[in-house]
Amino acid sequence: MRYRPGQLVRVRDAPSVGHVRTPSYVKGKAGRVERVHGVFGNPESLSYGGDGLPGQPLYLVRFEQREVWSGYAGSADDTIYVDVYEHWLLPAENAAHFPGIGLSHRFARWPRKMLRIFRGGWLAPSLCSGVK
Amino acid sequence: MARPVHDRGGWPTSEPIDTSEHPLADWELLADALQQSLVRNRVMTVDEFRRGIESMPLQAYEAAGYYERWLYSLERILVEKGVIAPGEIDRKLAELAG
Repeated sequence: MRYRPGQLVRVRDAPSVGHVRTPSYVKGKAGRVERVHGVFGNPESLSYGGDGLPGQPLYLVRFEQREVWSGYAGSADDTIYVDVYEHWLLPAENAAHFPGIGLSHRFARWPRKMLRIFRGGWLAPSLCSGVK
Repeated sequence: MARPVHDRGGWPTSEPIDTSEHPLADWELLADALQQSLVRNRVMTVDEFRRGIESMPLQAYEAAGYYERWLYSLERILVEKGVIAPGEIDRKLAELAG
């Protein structure tokens, strides 16, 4: 099991060849692991009569709607949950690509005092908006 | 690369999809029962069945209803596995009609 609940992941941006359960609209998008469903036979192999091995962990991943749809007009709090198999996920630690979720995630591990210094100093307050 | 026909969500348009329900016809209930029995008896996997639906040509997929897609896939997978012969269902239908 490569990922844990709460971890930031990004869906691989690769074409769907054969039977692929990953919907195209989340490819290349960053989300957060909500839950691990368990390990299942790989449908990309099972669908062609294969044995489905090695089994693939399946994750419930939460995406922000505005991350998934460019120009999304709904609430900034709207989310969508999608089941994604592990081999379609990459770690998404590069916060620079995902300012909305990445920065607060990275800063969450920093001591509070240091964050207060940054917030009042050279980092724009908007960049620390995820920190409470 | 072209998307598989079933890979919806913002494609081919971002218009809302029609989610209205309709009463099920007898043949639709039978199609459902057939699919479940084939999976439970390990004649085919649900993954093979889904792949069969996704292999439909775009125009046929668009024109078909939900359970019509199921029938398409069931026939295709059963032919693939040699359970029925190609054209066997059509021949039987013609026989019954004649």
